[in-house]
Amino acid sequence: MAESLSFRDVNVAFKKHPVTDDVVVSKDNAAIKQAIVNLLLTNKGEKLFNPDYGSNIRNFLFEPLDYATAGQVNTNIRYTINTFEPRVRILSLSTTPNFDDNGFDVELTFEIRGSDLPPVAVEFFLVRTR
Amino acid sequence: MPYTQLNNLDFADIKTALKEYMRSQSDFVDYDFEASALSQLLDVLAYNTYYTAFNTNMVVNELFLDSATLRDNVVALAKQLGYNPKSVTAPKAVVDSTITFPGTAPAAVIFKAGSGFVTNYDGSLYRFVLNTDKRAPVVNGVATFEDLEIYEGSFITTRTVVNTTLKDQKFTINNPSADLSTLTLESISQQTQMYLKSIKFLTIS
Repeated sequence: MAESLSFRDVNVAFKKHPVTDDVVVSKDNAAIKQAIVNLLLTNKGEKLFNPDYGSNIRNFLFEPLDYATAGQVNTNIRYTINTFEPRVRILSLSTTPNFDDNGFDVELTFEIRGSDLPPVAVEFFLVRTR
Repeated sequence: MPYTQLNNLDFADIKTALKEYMRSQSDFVDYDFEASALSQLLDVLAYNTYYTAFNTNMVVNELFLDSATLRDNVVALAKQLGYNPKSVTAPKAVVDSTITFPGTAPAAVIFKAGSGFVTNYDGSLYRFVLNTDKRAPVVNGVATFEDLEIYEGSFITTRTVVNTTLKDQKFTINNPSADLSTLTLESISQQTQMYLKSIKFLTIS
């Protein structure tokens, strides 16, 4: 049986591991979730010498809160993940405007390519903070 | 640990070299994915290397006259080599002059700086001036000047007030026709600790 791929990344919180005293490491699903969050929260032009990297979803948060904007956010997230995160394949992605809390509810399900891990479902809420 | 060459100034190449190094480590494997936190750290490291390399390269370039690009550095290097900016050159003539006194003669004759000499050549008039005082004794009623160096043009004086509070005051000669080889500098001290400096030079008429 072929061995599935394993992913390991340093945790952005940079907390100390209580046993090893080393930096806490994120593995597999956690590592990839963290990478996707990093990717979506990076604006285009923010990464050095790579102006296309990142997404523009922050800009959409200042647009009218409606289904049209939600569709644009959805397209943007899908394009960004497909372009810059080759480790995952998106199974489903839905973005709906949340009129009560003035933001967008995002539900993302993806699977890790070349891994026998079950699909990962992520739900998050996009809202402007200022 | 493999030998990693960091000998270029390109950000992408620096990052690739760092990735080559990471590839030999077993602790982290996500360095090759742009979205990973480790890749962000590599970005910072590569940028720091890039910045240092660029800075070092520029500093070394600025140390040599051939490769310096900043004007201040070019001027500083040229100054060390004794370079003076070029200027126009006033035509020079070397003449002999004899003055005969038929009656009572003084002990000596002095041509003051600025004394004019006029000559006519091929239908054109040329005016020359002397730029330093010249003295010749009168011997048997005759004063003889030999090898007088006279310059075509006229004296121009620029007066500037020296500000002693400025460490690096610059004195600008605004006349573009000034022959800098004839430039002299005089300072006139005053009680108020202000000085007048006169710069005399010749211009081509």
